Amino acid sequence: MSHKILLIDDDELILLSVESLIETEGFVVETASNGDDALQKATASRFDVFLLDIIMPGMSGFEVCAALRAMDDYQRSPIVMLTAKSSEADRKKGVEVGVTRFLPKPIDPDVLLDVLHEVVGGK
Amino acid sequence: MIRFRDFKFRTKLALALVAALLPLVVGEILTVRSMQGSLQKSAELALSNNVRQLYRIVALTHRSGRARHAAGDAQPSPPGREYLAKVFQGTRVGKTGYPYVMDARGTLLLHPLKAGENIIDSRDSSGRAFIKEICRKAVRLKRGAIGTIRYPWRNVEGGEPRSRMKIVKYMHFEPWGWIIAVGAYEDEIYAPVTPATRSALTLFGASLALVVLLTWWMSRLVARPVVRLHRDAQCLAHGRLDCVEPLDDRRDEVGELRNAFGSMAEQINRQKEELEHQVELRTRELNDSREQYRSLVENAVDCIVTADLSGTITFANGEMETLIGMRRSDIVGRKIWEFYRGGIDKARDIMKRIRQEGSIRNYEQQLIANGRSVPIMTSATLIYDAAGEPVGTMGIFTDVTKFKELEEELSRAQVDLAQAHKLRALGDLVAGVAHEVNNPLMASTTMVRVIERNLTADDRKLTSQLQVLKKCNQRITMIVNHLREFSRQTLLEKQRININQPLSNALLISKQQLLNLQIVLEQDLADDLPDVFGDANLLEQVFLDLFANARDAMEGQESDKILTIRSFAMQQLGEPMVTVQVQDTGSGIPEAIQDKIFEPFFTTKPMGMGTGLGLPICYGIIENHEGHIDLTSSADGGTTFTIRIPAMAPRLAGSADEDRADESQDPTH
Repeated sequence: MSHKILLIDDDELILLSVESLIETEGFVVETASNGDDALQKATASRFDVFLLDIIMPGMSGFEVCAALRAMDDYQRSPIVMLTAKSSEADRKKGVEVGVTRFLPKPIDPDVLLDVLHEVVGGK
Repeated sequence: MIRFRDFKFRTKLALALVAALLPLVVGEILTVRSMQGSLQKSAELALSNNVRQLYRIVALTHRSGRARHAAGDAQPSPPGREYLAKVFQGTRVGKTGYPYVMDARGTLLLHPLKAGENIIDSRDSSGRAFIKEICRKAVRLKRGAIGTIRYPWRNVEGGEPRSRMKIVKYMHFEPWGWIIAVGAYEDEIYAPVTPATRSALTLFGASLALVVLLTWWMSRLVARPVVRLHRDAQCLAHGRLDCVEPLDDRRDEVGELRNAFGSMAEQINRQKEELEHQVELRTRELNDSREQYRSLVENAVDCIVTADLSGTITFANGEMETLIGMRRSDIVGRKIWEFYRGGIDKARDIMKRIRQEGSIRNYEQQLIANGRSVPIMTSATLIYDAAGEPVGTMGIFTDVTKFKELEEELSRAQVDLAQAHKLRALGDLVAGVAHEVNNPLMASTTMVRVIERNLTADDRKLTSQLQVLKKCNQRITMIVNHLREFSRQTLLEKQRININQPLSNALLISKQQLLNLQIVLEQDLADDLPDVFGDANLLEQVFLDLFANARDAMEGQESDKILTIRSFAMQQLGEPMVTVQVQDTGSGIPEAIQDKIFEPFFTTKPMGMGTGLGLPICYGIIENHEGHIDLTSSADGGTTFTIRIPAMAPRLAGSADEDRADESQDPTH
């Protein structure tokens, strides 16, 4: 059974490219371009992994992460944070809200896939 | 010339006395004389009366005899003669004087002892035949006239030792040819004269003695205090006030004078003492104030120097000795411009300004001290004598070495700050660009990967074309990463390190390459450097970059190629810093572009040799270590990059590495 991934980013280019990459690898992917959309989709169906951008209009990645962790289904689900700014403060904040992994942009596609396999396998 | 007024007071008094007494004495002598004369005259008159009386008796006897005998009897009758003898016998003159009668031939007719003797040849003590003279003169006397003769006589029979003056009064009784004489010793008839004279003389003598005595007493009374006053005055004149004798209780003028004098002396004494006290007080005040000023000048933190108008130094204080490094005795006497870096021209300029403006303040120049130049501020002014004439100059030199250093440091810091502001703004811009490029770049990279994975082995041409795209993406990724590093967007992993460690690593990596290019490496790394809080990998990257820059600067150069690496500890604005210097002997960096060298994309290297991001990244990394990097360069002396990073406090024994975890976060974010 293929794993279901929710990709959340406000940049369409990221959504399109990463979606293609992950689909090629055999994952089932849905995308959301903002926090509300993401939470709606997460409620509608169940996802195994979340790829979450930090900086977005409306809810930030941290808020989305905290909201997901508040849901019964996703208390232990892997949430990988895609960051443009890899600052220590962001890391700290991310750990607080329950981020599983950080990946600084630009992300090498191979690295992204490795991480995905890793978090899924560790589930 | 001897003048009366120059005589001593006592002499004057004595002379005045003599002058006053002289007429008195003369008068007295004359008076006594005249008294004596009149007394003698009256004594002689009495003698004359005796003679005349006897003459009358003789005449009466003659008349009665004549009456009795009738007719001019030339000689007295015997009874008449007897009677006369008795009369003569009973007559005494003075003590031993007696009357006698002789005839003109010198035969004594009536005489108490020698009647009948002829004494015509009798001679007095001087040998004169005085009887003969009497006889001769008597007969020539007019009737009733009285003759007088004086002669010295010594009564041999009476046993007298010496002659006495005798006076004889005589008359001639013609009828009988009698010479009636009365003789007596002068001293006997004058006997009453002597006591009178004596008493007069005694009285006079007593008065005289009294006068002299009184005068002496007066002189004593007047002169002695005057003499004492004189002595006191002399004593005073010699400045001794203690010798004025205590006041006496005299109430007269001299006493008052002495009292006045005494109180004057006392007053002078008091005033003198007061004066001495005041002088002592003032002297002490003067000394105090002099000491105060001396101390002020001597201990002043600035150099204080005075010179005369010819520029010869007349005084220098302790600070001048310290600054110049010479003893004061060696400074004084020299010309002031010997210590001016600008020499006599500087001294002339200063003097000109002082004369124009009265003084100068904070005139910048350099002093020669211990063979080196010391920047000083000179303030100087003219000094005047009591008459208001300028006699020299006083200069105050303030050592502004420290001030200058601070000023330079400050101006460097200002330049650094401006540079930092500029670069920070650039960093923000670059960060924004990097961020914006990031997503499309990632999308592109991802899509290339997706396409690559979907290709089959047959699509060789497409695969190679895709490789070009992949390389483009890689180049863009590298640039973006560098931009992020420069703009401090990267994470630092800082810990306590010795900066020599990344420095040595970088050297190790670069060594072979440097050797290949015949670049001589000189290192001078301090052993006892304090630690810094830093990211060893990033610092290593900085040093590698700097070595690469140096290498590029010296490449192809004919002259000696030397790369000098130093590390040492120093203080900057009071903060301990660790400094690393990288110095090359390359062509140097023109001044015009020195401040652009840390800007991104600025490069002097040929296209493809560098991205223009090496030094900006170094700058960003050092900034992230709260340090600075700057350079000094000249066209012939090569370039020196200096990196300064704050030193950490020495690690306390036992605290080990516990602090690392807490400090390992990036303090700028």
